[in-house]
Amino acid sequence: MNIENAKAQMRKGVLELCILSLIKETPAYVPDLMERLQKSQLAVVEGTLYPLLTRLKNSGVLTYKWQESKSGPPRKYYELTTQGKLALTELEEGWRQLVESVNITLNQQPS
Amino acid sequence: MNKTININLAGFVFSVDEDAYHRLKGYLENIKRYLSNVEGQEEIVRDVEARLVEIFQSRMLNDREVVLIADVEYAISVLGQPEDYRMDDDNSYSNFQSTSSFKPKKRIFRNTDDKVIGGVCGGLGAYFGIDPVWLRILFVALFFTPLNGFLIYIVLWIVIPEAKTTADKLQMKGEEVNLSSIEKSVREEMKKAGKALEDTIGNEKFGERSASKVRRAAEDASDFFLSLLKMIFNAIFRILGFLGVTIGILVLIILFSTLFWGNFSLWGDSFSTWEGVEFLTILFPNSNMHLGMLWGIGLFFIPLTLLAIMAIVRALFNLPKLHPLVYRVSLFLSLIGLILVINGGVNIGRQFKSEGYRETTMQLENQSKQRFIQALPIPSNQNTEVDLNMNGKDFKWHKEPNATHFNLVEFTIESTDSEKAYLLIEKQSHGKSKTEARSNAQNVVYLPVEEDSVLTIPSYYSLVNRDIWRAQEVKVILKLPVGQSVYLDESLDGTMYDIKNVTNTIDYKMLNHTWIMAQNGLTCIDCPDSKSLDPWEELEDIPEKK
Repeated sequence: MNIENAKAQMRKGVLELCILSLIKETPAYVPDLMERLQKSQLAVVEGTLYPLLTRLKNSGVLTYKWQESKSGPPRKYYELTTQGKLALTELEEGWRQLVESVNITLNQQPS
Repeated sequence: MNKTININLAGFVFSVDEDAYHRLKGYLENIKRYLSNVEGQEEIVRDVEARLVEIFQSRMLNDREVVLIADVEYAISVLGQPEDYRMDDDNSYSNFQSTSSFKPKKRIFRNTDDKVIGGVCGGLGAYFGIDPVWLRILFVALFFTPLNGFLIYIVLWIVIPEAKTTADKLQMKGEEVNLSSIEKSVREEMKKAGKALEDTIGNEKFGERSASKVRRAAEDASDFFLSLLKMIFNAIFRILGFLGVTIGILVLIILFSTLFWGNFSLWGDSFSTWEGVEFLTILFPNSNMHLGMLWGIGLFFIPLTLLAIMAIVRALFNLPKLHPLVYRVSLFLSLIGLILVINGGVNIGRQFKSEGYRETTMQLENQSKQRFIQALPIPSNQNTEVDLNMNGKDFKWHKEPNATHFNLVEFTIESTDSEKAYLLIEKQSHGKSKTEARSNAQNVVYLPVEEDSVLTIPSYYSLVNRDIWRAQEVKVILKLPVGQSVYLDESLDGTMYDIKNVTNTIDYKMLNHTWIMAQNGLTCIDCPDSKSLDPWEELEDIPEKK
């Protein structure tokens, strides 16, 4: 069993939830998201986010607005759609249930 | 000194160090490959490129202009390895797994681990998966054939790059290797290169600080001029290179068609290549000038031809670019050749500057009323004849061991007040000066023959082979007193030129008829009545009458 790999899989699994949650209040572009994710010590690289955001956008959960930048190319600022907000509440509920179940599983004493 | 490459990332231009460029290119290509089954792949790559612009811009703050390998490595550390781009929960990952063990695109390298001379056979063997021994035998066998295995080997040696890194060696065999393992070895290689680069940059900066301001200013100025010169030369070389390869391909076509058909045909005229070389020996019969011209032609065409061959080989086997030095040296050589050719051409031109004439008369024995005139055709066979159109007339020449014949002869008939008919032979030539032109004209051998009533006009003149050809021309005029008549044999076709006559009959229609010199000019005795001619021919004759 590849432990590093298993950990990475776990991180990736909850990444969608985290991203939706992070842009719930304020629109963000990828480096912003990275900063917030690093603050919460969720180790990911930007490369992981681009395909994820694109797919979420294509499924209608996210949308983006172009914003001019001072020197570089325009930036994509992502925000939630109504559908996204619904999805987020469902995912949050799912996560809570999962944490609960996992915790119960982990704390279960052999009887 | 390092080469930089200009790239366009999301609409922004960056100068990128060569190593960094290859790293970056490989990175983007790998991402694309990882995302090959993902919807929106293009959009993702665009996003990544836009982000790369931001990262590079943030690193270019201290007036630095060139993106280095360290910057690319930094960007990759921010963006993540290509593996990080895949999404486990859709099909892309499993699809990628199934394709990740694909054989990486094979490329030909010279295998210096398994070499006898240059590793060409070793590399080809590895590429085609056969024992190089067979290829070596094949090449040795080719050495003794007209295909010139030696030349082929040398060309391949120059064209095929040496397998330097492990990745090269794996690619050479097209071995089944894990993509990431190759990437890892390449990355390590690049890291080493990046470190070496940073070291040298550090040293340069240190050295510059110790240099005096004056020296630096001078260096700046000379740098500027050097780079300006370099730019100009680069532009010239690029244009020359393009022309060169085009000419080279043309030469190849000519060579091949010469080999297979003995001549080649261009714009409707057919030339034989060897005839061209032989013609030079007539233009320059003596000397170094001739050799210089041949050398010039050889120097001009051979490097270009080799370049063209290499370009084709490169295109066929998907090989990397040649070392620029190879281009430069070959273009330089062909430039020297071009100068020699131009020099030779100017020399020829000077040889043709002045004109000179010689006129001789030939008395005719037979002064009877009827004369039969025929032409002697130029001795030629198909292999030694050039059809070049000169002044509306097919130029033919024929070389024999001692003399060369040219068909630049014109025959015409004029009336004379003298009692006897005679031939006026006007020889014309070119030369460096009038005197030389006249002596060149005198060299022309032209001998009409009279036998009873038959006058034979050669349709060609001859030059002894040590004499030089300076576009000599011969005009033969039969001066005919009133009352004498001639029969024009059809062999005169092509030699007779604009013979004035009463009915303004065109030259070729005068053949096979008898003409008498009347008071007002040549008159046909046995021609059919012009009214019986069909209307088409009359139409043709109308403009002549005016």
